[in-house]
Formats: sequence, C-alpha cells, structure tokens
Amino acid sequence: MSSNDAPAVNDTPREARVVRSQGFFTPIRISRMAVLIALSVVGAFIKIPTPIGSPALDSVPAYFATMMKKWDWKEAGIIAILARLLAAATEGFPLGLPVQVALAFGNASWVAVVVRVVRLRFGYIAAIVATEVWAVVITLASPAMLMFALGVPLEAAFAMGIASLPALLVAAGIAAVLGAAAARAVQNTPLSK
Amino acid sequence: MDVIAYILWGVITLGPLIAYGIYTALRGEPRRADKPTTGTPSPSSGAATS
Repeated sequence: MSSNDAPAVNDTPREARVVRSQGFFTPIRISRMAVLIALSVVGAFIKIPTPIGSPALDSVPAYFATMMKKWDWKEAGIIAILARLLAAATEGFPLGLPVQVALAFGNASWVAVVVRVVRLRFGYIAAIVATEVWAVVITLASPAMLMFALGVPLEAAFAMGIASLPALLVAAGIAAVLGAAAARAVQNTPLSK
Repeated sequence: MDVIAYILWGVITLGPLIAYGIYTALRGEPRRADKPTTGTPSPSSGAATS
C-alpha cells in the first residue's frame, strides 16, 4: 500500500476536523445534558404530595438550562421531556404512559418555550412570574388529561385539577427560583458558553 | 364540552413547542442584546485618547 492510498485524515488540521463535526449534538452539549438529566432524577425524589400525583423538583435542571442565555432552547426541551418521563418512571407511570408522554411535552412547552422567551426578553424575575402564571394555564387544560386517564366527568376532573394547583404552584415556584439562582450564579463563567 | 377540553389540552401541550420551533427555524431565537459594559475603554478598542 503506497502512501498515496492512505486516507487523508491525518493531513487535515485538527481544528478543521473539529469544525466539521459541529452540530446540535456537540460533545460538550451532550455532556451537560447528561449531567442535568441525571440531576433531574435526583430531583424527582423530592416530592410535594397532591391528589393527582406528586409534583417533584425534577424540572430544576430544565429551568437551569432554559435560563442560560447562550444555550439552545431545544436543549432545555429535551431535558424537560426526559426529566418528566424519568420522574414518572420512578413512581410507576401514574395515569398511564400516554398521559405521561403528553405531560412531558407539556412540560417542555412550558419550560423551554414560555419561560425561556420571557427570560430572554424580560429577565429572571419575570421568568419566575411566568412560571406561576403558566401553572394556572396548565390547570385549565388538565381536566382533559384526567378525563382521558381516569374516565371521570369534566366537573370532577376540573375539581381535581384545582385541588392540585397549590402544590403545583409551590413546586413550580421552587424549581424556577432554584434554576434561576443557579443560572445567575454561573452566567459569566465558561460554563455558560 | 369534552371536545373543547381535549382541544385546549392539545393546544397548550404542543402549541408552544410547534410554534416556537417554526419561528426559531425561520428567524432564529430572539435574544435581548447584552448590556454595554461601563468603564473606561481599553486602548485597543479604538477610542480616541489624548
């Protein structure tokens, strides 16, 4: 085999090879997403009891990721989806897997889109307030989820949704405050790049 | 009434994700500009000094 038949990988400068491999799933992004998803499972064991389940602090890493200005919003969305599914897995998927998948995507809409847009436009405090407002919006939509999962009439489902609102507000508020505080602490460090 | 509840659930669950995904794919993510730093400009910033 002559030297001309050898692949030209070694002739390419290292910087050029690194640039070619860049995309959404860069090594550093995958690494920090893995760490944050693992932290979500830890947060899933800190529960706040409600009539229809136990909201936990599994979304704190997703709030942290969404508050980081230079990170991608899809990153926070993926963390939010996997955090919800893993948290549901720790309690045996209450209300069924289809409902938990819908909850996971609803969580991603909430954290990665609504809260992020408010954080980018208006800052941390507004994002925390938006978190609490969006919890009320989710409550208005939750009766359909309970009707689908439990087969109860609309009035009963709405009552159960209202009953779960206080714990949801507390859990979402704590998660948003912790996420915002953590993001604020590392905003000007190399981690935020 | 039940149908309205299901539609509301779908819109609130998936609506923001789809809408923001399309928006950012077309126009990029809207970011507020960083605040200008205060203080004396460095000599390499091009500011005229005398």
